[in-house]
Amino acid sequence: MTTHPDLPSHELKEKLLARVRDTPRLSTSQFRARAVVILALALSLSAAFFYWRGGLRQAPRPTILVLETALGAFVIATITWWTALGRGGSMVGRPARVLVSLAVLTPVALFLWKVIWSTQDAGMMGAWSERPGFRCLYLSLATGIWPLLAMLALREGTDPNHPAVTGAAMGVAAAACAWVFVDLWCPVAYVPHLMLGHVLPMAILGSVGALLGRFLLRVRRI
Amino acid sequence: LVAEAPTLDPSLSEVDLLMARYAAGDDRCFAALYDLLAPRLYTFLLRRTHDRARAEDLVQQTLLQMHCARARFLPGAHVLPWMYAIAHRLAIDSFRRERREVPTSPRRDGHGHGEIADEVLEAKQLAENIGRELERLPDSQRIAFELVKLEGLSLKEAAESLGTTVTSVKLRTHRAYEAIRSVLGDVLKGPA
Repeated sequence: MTTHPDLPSHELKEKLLARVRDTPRLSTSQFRARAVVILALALSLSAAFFYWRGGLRQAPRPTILVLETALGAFVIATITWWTALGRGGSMVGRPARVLVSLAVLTPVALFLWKVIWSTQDAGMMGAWSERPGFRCLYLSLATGIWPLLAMLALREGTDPNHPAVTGAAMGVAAAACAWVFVDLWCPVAYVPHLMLGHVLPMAILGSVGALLGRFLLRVRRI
Repeated sequence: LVAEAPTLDPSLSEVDLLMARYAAGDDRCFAALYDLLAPRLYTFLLRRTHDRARAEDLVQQTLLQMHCARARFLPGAHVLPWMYAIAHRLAIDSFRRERREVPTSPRRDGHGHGEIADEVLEAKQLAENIGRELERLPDSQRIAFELVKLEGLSLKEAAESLGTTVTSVKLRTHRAYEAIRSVLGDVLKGPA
């Protein structure tokens, strides 16, 4: 049987259908259930690390300040998470400019939110010589890595255009989630401390996300 | 098969509805999807590779990718920009892997010109000239031009497929069109 030069050969269809039969995949509803489990597991691990190495610590902050900074950070983290993990109704994902803006603006927004509210209370912005920020840095990385791995697993092999940028946005979203946890523990709003212990882990997780995303999110031969 | 998808937006294309049904678990839809997508995908890839075997391999890979991503399909999303984005990426990777440049010669389809009438021959030569001019364009302009002018995607769909803005696609397409027109201007104007 001959094949028209502008059409694929007749054998291709049979070959492809056979491969599809041999590699069954989940339906959307089955995948959704699995995604919920993976995300819940990742957030549970983050919470477990948070309580193991830190936990809620209010003093010397007023309760209202803790609520203001943590709730604001939670809202920012939720928006960041939704933007990084969602695809905006397109199978190709969000445009690179949206993801880059997200990766740049999220740390700025979280930092400004923390500083603006902390300046309202006397003494909250002072230097803490015994708290340079390394413990916050470690805690941020330990709580942020799990949501990042979960997001990468859920979107594996699905980004044909800019997997590194998507990975970076996911890294920053995971770090924003970690920021909420660490904010409940750390009373320091001294700017150098915030830069080292809170903003730097966002940059690190964003970079790790970009690196992993480049390999895990890209479309590869099967 | 499409008629069995009453819960989805009726303004979606047949391909979008079929993919949504396939993602929801209706395995019968894949063969129908193949029938709708494979010919245009093959044409697109053959134009890029000039190699039937490689184009078929990339068609298979692209459709396999879509099968593997069925669980992550967003009901209501457009399939064509996604399909072309995957195909474009796989074609680039294929060229990189084999460390081979895109051939600039016209495509080798094994058909001679011997007994073709003069008009047909001229038309074919014109098409080959346009093809050659397309090959000379930067990849970003060529792919935008192909998606919009040859594959019939809207500017929005092409922008989605390439991960860029509508304005950028419009600009790239216009530049590609101008480049072709500047070289083939006299021919494109036709007889006075």
